[in-house]
Amino acid sequence: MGVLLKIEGLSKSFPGVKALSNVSMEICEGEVRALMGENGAGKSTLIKILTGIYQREEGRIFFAGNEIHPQNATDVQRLGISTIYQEINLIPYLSVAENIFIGREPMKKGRIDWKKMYEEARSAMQDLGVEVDVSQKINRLSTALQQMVAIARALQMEARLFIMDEATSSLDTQEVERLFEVVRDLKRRGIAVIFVSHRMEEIFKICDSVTVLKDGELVGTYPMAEIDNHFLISRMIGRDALGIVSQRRKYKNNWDSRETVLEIRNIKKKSKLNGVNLKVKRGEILGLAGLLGSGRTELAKIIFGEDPHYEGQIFINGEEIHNGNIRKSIERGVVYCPEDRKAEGVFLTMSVGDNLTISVLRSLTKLGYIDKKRKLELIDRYIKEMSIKTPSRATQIRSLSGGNQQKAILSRWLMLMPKLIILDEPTRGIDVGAKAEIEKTIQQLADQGISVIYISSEIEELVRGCDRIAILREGTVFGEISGQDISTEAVLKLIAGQKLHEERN
Amino acid sequence: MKSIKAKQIISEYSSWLALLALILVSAGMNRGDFLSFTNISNLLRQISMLGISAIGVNFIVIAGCKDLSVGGMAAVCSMIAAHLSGFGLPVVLFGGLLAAFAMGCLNGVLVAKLKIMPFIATLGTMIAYKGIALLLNDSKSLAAQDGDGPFGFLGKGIVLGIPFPVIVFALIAVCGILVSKHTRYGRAVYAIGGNEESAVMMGIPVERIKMILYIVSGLLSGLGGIMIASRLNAGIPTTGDSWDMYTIAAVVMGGTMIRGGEGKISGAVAGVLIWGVIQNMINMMGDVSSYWQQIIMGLILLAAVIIQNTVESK
Amino acid sequence: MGTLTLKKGDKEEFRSWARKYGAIGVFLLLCVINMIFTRNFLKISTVWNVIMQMAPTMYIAVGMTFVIGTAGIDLSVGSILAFTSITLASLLAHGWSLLPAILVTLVIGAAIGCFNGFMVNKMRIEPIILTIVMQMVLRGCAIFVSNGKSIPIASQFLKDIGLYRFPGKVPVQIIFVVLVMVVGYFLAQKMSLGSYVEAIGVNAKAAKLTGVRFSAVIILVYMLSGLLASMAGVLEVARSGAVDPSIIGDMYEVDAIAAVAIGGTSLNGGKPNIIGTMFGVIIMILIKMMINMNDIPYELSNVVKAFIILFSLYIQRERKS
Repeated sequence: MGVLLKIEGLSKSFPGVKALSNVSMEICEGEVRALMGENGAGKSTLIKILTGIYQREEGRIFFAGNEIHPQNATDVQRLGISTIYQEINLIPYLSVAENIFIGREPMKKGRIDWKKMYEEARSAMQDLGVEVDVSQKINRLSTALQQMVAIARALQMEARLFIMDEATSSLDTQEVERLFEVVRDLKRRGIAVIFVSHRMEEIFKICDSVTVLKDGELVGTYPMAEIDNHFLISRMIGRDALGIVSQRRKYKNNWDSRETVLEIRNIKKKSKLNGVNLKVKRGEILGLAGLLGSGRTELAKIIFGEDPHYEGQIFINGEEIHNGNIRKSIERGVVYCPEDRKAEGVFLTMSVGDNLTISVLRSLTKLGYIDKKRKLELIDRYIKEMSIKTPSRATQIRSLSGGNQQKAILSRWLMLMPKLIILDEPTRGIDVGAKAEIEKTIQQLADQGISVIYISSEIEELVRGCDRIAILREGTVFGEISGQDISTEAVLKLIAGQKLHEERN
Repeated sequence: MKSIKAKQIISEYSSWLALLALILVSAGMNRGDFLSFTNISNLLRQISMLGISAIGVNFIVIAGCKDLSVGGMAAVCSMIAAHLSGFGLPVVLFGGLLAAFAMGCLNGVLVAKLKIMPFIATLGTMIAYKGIALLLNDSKSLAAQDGDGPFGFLGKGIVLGIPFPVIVFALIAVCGILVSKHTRYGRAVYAIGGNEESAVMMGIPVERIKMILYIVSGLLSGLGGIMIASRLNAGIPTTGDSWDMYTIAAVVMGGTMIRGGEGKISGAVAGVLIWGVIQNMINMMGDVSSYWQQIIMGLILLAAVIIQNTVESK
Repeated sequence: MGTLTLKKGDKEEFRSWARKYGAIGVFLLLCVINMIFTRNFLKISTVWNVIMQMAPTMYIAVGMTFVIGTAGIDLSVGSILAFTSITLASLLAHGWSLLPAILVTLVIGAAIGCFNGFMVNKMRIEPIILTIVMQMVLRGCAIFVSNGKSIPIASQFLKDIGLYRFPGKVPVQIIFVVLVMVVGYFLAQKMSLGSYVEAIGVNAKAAKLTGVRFSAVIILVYMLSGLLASMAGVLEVARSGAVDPSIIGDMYEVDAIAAVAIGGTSLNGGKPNIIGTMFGVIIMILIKMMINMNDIPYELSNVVKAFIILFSLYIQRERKS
C-alpha cells in the first residue's frame, strides 16, 4: 500500500519549550499506527499541527502525495483527516442523522431532503454494524454509539486518515472490541489510523506499528510484532516502571480479624443494580471490575451519598446509614474521587491551592473566617508529599498536566483524613510515570489503614494493586477473588460470565 | 405506550394548548366582546411589532446567545422613521433599516468576533442604543408626517380586512419557521446552540452565522420600531422599553430553552400571542385591574417556566 | 519529567491582570480626564457627591457580585427596591414608627431573595428567566400596593437622617457605604463564602461532590442580594420627598451588572471581586458627573457608559479553556 501521510522534520516551539523537534514519520494506507509517549512528549502537539490547531514552525507535511498546510479543523476534514476524541464532539440535542450530515445535508429543490438524509444515515450506521434509530437525539445513546456516529460522519466526508485520540478511554471491553472491528474494516478499505492511547493491551491488539516520542523528539518507529511491553515502556521513559506489583498480598492474610469499615447489603437500583453485597475491611484495597454499565460508578455514588435513590442497607463502621448525603458521608470518613476529572473534579480556573483545600475549608475556618496561615501550610505540605509539580500554589490548576491534576484532586480527598476512599478510574488519561506514582500512593494509603475501593477498567492495574477484586456483572457481584487467586485471566473469565470453578458433569 | 405518546404531544404543543385555554377563558369572561373581529384585530396589531422582534430573538436564543438590545434598536429606528417621514416611505425604510443593520452589526461584532458574553454585550449596546434614541430629539417624541400616505400604511393599513402589521408578522413568522426547519443555515443555528465547540469542529461557520443572526435581529427590531412610529404617528424615544424582557418571556413561554439548542420558531408566535391575549384580557377588565397586568403576566410566565422545567427533567 | 509550563502568551497575562485591576485603571483615567476638563472637580464636595450618588447602586452591586460569582444573575433587584420602598412608605404613612417599619422592609427584601434562591436552586429555574419574571411581578406589586400613586414620606425624622451631614459636609451615607463595602470584601476574600461562591460558579457539579453546602450558599447569595436591594430601598425613601412606584429603582440592575462586569468578576462564575465592583460603581457615577458638570446632553451619558462597559469587557475577555 502506498504512503498516505508523510511528515518530514516537523518542529514547533512555545515560549520556553521546544515541543517538537525534527520529527519525521510515514504512515501507509491501511496502517494502524500507535503514537506513544509520556505526557509532554509531543503527541498532542503533533496531532494539533496535523489538524490545523497549531501552525508548524519547520518541516513539511505530505498527504496523499500533496504537500498540505492545515489551517483549521474544517480545512483538514476536507482534506480527508478526521479526529475521534474521548469526549464526543457532536451536538447532543440533534439526531444521529443530523449529526452525520450537519453542514452538508442533502438538498432537494432548495430544501433539506430529510427522507434521503435519514436513509443515508441509516445505511452509514449499518456499514459500521450498528442498528439504531437515526432520528433519535444522540444524547440518548451511549458514549460508544456516539463515537460510531462520529466515525460515520467522518466516513461520509471521505476521511482517509483517522486520528483516534484516547478514543477508548470511556468504553468498556465489549465496546472497545466493536470499535476495533470497525478499525479492522477501515484497514481493509485502505484507511489509515493514528491511534493514541495509554493502554498497552489495546496497542498490542490493534496496531501494526508504533511511533514513540520522548521530550519532543522521535525515539523510533517499530513494528508491533517485533517488540513487547517492556521495550515500549523503556523507550518511552527510559526506564522500566511497569508499576509495583503489590507486595502486600504476600503477607497480609489477617483480613478476618480486621474491622469492617463498609458493608453493603442487597443494594438495588432500578435497571442498574440488582442486589449487591460487599464488605470492605480496614486497610484493604478492594478492586471493582466489570464492564461499563455494570453499575460500578452508580454503586460508588450510592455509597458516597450522592445518589439517594436506592434500596438496601449500608453500614459504615457498623452503623447503618439512612438518607445518605454527601456532607454526612464526608463527615463519616467516606470520600469519592470522581471518574470524570474535568467535569466533576477540577475547578479549572481556580488555583492549585484552592482546588486542594476546598473540601477542608470548614476545618480551616473559625466563624467563617479563613486561617490563611494554616491553609498555606497545608497546601505546601501536600504539594510536597504528593510530588505535585506546579510552579506555585497560585497557578491555575488547568496549567498542570493530567497526572498532576489527578494528584491534586487525590490530595484534596486525602486532606479529609478519610477512612474509606473510593477511586473511580484514577489513572485515566495519565502517562505511565504519574500512573506508577499514584499506584504507589494507593499502596501507602492502605498501609496506613485507609480502605480503598478501586474502580478501574484496566484489569492489569487492578491485578497489580488490589488485595481483593470483586467483579460486577448484570448488577450483582458475580464473583470475588483474593490473595494468590488474583490474576488477569481469572478476572477476565469472571467478567465474561464464566464461573472459575466450573462444575463438570 | 399511549400515555407516553400523549405526554409527548402535550409537551410539544403545550404553548398552543395554553393559548387555547386562555382564549377560551377570555371569551367566556367577556362573551361576545373578546371574539369580535375588531378586538382580535386590534390585539394582533398590538403584538405584531413585538412579535416580529421576537422571531429574531428566538433564533438568537436557540443559538445559545441573547439579544437584550432589541428594544433600543426599535427605539432608534422609530425616531429615525419620524425624522425621515417627510421624505416618503422608501427613504424611511432605507434610513431606518440601514441604522438597524449597523446596530445589529455592532452586536454581531461584539459577540461573534470579539467573543464577549452576549448577555453583557447586548446589555451594553442596549444602554447605548436607548441613549441614542433619546439623543435624536432631546428625549422628546417627534411627530411623524405622511400619516395618511404610504408611511402611515405601514402601521395603520389594512389589507383584505387584516391589519398590515399582522400580515408582515405572519410572513416573517412563516419565513422563520421554514428557515429553521428546512435550510442548512437554520439547522446550523441549532447545532451552535447545542454544542458550540463541536459545531466549530464540524465545519460550521459559527462566527458568520452569529453575525447574521444579530443583523437579522436588528433588522427585525428596527422594522418593528418603524411600524410603531407609523402607527402612533410619532417617534417615541421609549419605544420598545421592555422588549428585552418581553421577547425572552415570549420565546421561553413558546417552548424554547434558554440554554439553547432546542426550540421552535413557532413557539415565539405562540408566546407572543399568549402575551397579547393576557394583555387584552386585562384591558377588558377595566381600569383598576391594569395594575394587575404585570403581576398576572409575571405569574403566568412563572408557572410556564416551572412547568417547562419539571417536564424537562423527567 | 518536568512540568511543561508553557507560558501563556502575553495577551492572556494582560487580560488576567485587567480582570483584577482594570477597573482601577479606568477609574484613574476618568479622574485624569475630569481633572483636566471639568471645573470644580478637585473639590472635596465632589467626593461627597460621589458617595451620595453611588450608595444605592453600591449596595445592589455588592449583592450582585456574589450572585454573578455563582454563575447566576439577579435582574429583579430594581423591582425589589421598588417594592420594599413602597412598602416602607406605606407603613410610615399608616403611622408605623420608624424602626419597626425599616426592619419589616429589610425582612421582606431578604425573604424575596430567599424565594429567588429557592426557585433557582430547588426548582432549578434558570436565574435569568426567574429574575426577569420576578422583576415584572414585583414591579406590579409595587404599583398595586400604592394604587399607582406616589406616596409621600410621612417621617420627617427619616428624611432628616437621610440627608444629614456631619460637620464638614460629610454625608452620613458614608458610614453605610463603607460598612457594606468592608463587609462585602471580608465575605468575599477572607471568609469561606467567597471560596464557596467561586467553586460553585466555576464548576457546580464538582462543588457538590466536594461537600460544599450548595443549597445554602445559593439561597444565601440571593437573599443577600434581596436584602441589599431593600437596604437601597430604605435609602431611597430616606432621600426623597415621595416614592413613585413606577419609576423608582428602574434600571438599577443594569448599572449594578455593569459595575460588576467592569470590576472584573466573570459573568460565567468565579471569584467575587468586591473591590473591582466598587470601582465599577464609582466609574458609573463619574461618567454621569462628567456629563452633568460639563453641560453635555445627559442622554450622551448612556452612550459613554455603554462604551466603557464594552471596552472593559473587551480587555478582560477570558480565553475559553
